[in-house]
Amino acid sequence: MAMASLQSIYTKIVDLIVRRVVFLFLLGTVLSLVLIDQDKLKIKTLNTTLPSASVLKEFVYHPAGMDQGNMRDMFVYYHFLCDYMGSNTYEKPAACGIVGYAYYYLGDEKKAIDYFLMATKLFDHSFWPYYDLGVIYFNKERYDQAMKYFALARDAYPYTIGFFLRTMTYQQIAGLLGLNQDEFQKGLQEGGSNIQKLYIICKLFVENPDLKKQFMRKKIDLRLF
Amino acid sequence: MKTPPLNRISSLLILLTVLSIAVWCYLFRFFLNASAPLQFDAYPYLGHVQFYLENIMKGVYPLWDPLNNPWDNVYNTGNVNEFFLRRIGEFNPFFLIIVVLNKIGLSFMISYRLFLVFYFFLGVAGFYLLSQRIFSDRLASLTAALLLLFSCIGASIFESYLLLEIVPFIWFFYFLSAFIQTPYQVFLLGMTFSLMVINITYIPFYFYTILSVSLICFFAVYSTRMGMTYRGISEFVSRHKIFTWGCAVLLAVSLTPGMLWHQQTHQAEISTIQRHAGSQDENSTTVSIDKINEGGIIPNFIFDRLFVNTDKIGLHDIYIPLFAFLMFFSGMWVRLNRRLVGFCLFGYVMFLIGLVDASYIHKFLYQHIPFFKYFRNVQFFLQFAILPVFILFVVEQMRGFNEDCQRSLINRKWMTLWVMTVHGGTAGLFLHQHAGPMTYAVIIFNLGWTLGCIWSLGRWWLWILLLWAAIILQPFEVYSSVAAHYPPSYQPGYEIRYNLNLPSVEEARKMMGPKERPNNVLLDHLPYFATSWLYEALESIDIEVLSNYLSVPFILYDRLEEVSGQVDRNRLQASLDHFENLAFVYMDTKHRQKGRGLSQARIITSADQDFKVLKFDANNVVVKTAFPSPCFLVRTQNYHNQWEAFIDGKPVSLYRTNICAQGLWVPAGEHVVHWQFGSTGRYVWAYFLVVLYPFVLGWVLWLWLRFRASTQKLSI
Repeated sequence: MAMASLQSIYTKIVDLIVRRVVFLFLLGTVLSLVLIDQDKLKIKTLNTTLPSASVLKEFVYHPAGMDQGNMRDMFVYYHFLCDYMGSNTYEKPAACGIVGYAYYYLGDEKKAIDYFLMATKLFDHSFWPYYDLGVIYFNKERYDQAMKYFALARDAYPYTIGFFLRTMTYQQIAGLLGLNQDEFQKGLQEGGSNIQKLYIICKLFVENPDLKKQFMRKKIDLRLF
Repeated sequence: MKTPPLNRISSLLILLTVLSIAVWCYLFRFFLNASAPLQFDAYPYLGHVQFYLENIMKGVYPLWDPLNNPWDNVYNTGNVNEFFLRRIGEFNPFFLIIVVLNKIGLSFMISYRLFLVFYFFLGVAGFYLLSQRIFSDRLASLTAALLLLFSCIGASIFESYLLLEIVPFIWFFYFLSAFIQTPYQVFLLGMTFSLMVINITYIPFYFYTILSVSLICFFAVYSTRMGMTYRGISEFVSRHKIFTWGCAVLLAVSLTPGMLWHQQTHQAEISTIQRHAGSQDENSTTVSIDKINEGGIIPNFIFDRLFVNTDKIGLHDIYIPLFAFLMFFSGMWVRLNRRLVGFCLFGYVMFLIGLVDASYIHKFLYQHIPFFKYFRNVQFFLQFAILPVFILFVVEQMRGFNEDCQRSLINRKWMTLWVMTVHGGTAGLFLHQHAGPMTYAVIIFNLGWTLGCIWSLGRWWLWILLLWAAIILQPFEVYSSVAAHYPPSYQPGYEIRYNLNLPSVEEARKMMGPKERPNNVLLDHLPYFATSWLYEALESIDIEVLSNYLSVPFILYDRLEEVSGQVDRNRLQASLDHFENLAFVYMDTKHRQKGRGLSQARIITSADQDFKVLKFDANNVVVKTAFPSPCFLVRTQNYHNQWEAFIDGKPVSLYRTNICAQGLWVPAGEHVVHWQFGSTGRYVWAYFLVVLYPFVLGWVLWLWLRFRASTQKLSI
């Protein structure tokens, strides 16, 4: 009797679920959990959900004054891109550079340097990571290191104009900030002329420690680009 | 619901079909009358088609584009046009519609748009016939066709080129299903012709992936019927051996353009630098797995405008009428059959492939199947495969729902509750998202006909009308506003010049005059497709210097410097900037000659008496020269190894000069110099294919008419 009722229940379940379209839906869901890499799926959805423009503007223009919560959201987003993106994509060096930028303003200088270096290893014609490494060392008064990175940035400069403007990340950022290509390029050109001056300053400081002492009466803190 | 009389249902279905087409044309009227511009890839494709048609009507099969695609760059240094011909599938005989419309007085812009619409409707008709073969149910087939008509595939014809692939895909599967069910000559030839078009259009590997997956799913689901199918096909082949072999030969012939192109891409003379970056394969059209992984169906699966924010919908957004989803969820309790399992299996496998690196299937296929290295836009599987199969799945659910209701295989009360939950829940979701009134109307109408189905209420014609309204009302609302997102703007056609314009003396003087020191700025946006030599030049020479130099069609030198390996870029740049009388030639010339010692080269101008252009078309330039002494004539069209040069009919060596240009020695005295791109044999084969394709289409149509006549006779 019990067996008969169990069999009857089993038959009903099979008829209600297994022989119906809903079974395909459930089976597909279960298979998706097994066959699909959830982290990589998430990275793809992230591409369509960039942070809003206002958060991004604050992130770029006023990072020191930015709400720490928003900074962390931006940071988590780009950190995820950085960790999961393929190494051969154009976007990964850009994402690593942004993560380095975020780490610096979150107070972790060592990690900032690590991520900027990662960006340069992924693409050795990287202007901005080299520039920012130079700025970090300049602010730490390590002028020999700063000079080295400003020189690398200066040499990378002609390639960067073409390259970074083509990467989706910077194009998205430019779009969200309301910058057109000319404005972006102008910013790059200003950066390009600044590093030559910075390089010369660092070279002078390395060669003339006395000059450095005079300069250091006025403390200048450079901003990351 | 009682089955209505067949002739009455036919009349109503025909009326609804005509109305639906009229509604669609009304929704996209601004694109039809060319008020709204073509978007994104649709515009360059217009240019490719126009360039091809205008040349072929003049008897020139354009393997080279001397002006280059103006949307890729503006240097007028020419490009291998075969790349663009492979994209459009130039032998497709339906392009002749554009020619006919243009000849009767319509502008090319309007003719091309009407062709797109006609071709799309042809695809929808094919989808109707395919559905009819699958479901043997006119109402279901019309439902499938309407869902396809009002989906994003219809909108995308004004924004992309996918239509050129989707239509032959659909017709292939129609002919395939028809042939499997009833092996006739017309269906085999139809399959062959569809494959012939697919093999010459864009990248046929999308199709072969879809075909392979569909055959595997078919075998898996219908394994018990394979024997019967095989026997039917074998019997046909044994009765029609010559015909079958003929079709095989036609298929082989259609593969030749792709194979010739594949051969070319192995030679490293051309490149798609962004596409090819990171690929380990030497073939310049392969794509690295990382590049492919950047895409996939998820980043493009924009759900935001699939259900809500539809007032912001664009031509590129994925969209299916809401009816499909209402039916999908309402039909969750429909009984499974082989068709549903087959559609689901196929759709799911294509979905997994479309996820690229988020699933393991694509990586496996990339490593083990060679042609997976040749296409990167995996998101195209959405429109090519997943969307049409989803429509078929939903329509089969609808049929199953109707059958279960008619055969009283469901508990009506529970089903009513379920259907009302689905519709109520949907209405609630949309209420939260501030959807338009038509969306709610669709929910109400769909609820109406599903309840009518469950409880056998109402008359058959009311049921059909409710169904029709449920399908088209929401797309009507959605696509009513789409043209507003693409305001009217002037969109010039592709200007094709048939004359070679030489600069005037004044222009030449200005080009050779003193200039400011170059800024050493490289190009910020490399062209998508160009010869490897042009890329090399763009990456090493200041862009203004290079543009200025390449804008001159012909330049005369009498001093050469032989280059092996890398050229001194600074020296070359200075030489190009000042038009110095020194050409950097990439070969052992064996004809080194001492120049007269002039410091500057000579720009050939329109006023020159010793140089006359006799003939100019896409593939050929013929000039008459009468130089007083031997000169090295440089032509600034991009160098490519398929360029041949003849002087007075005899072949001469053509050298790569100044990185990307062409140069040859011209003796003193009167001579006729002829440049030709591609061999004569290549052109003969191309013209043969130009004639073959319309012939095969005509043959298909003739067999089709014969088949229809014979089936009508049988039914009488």
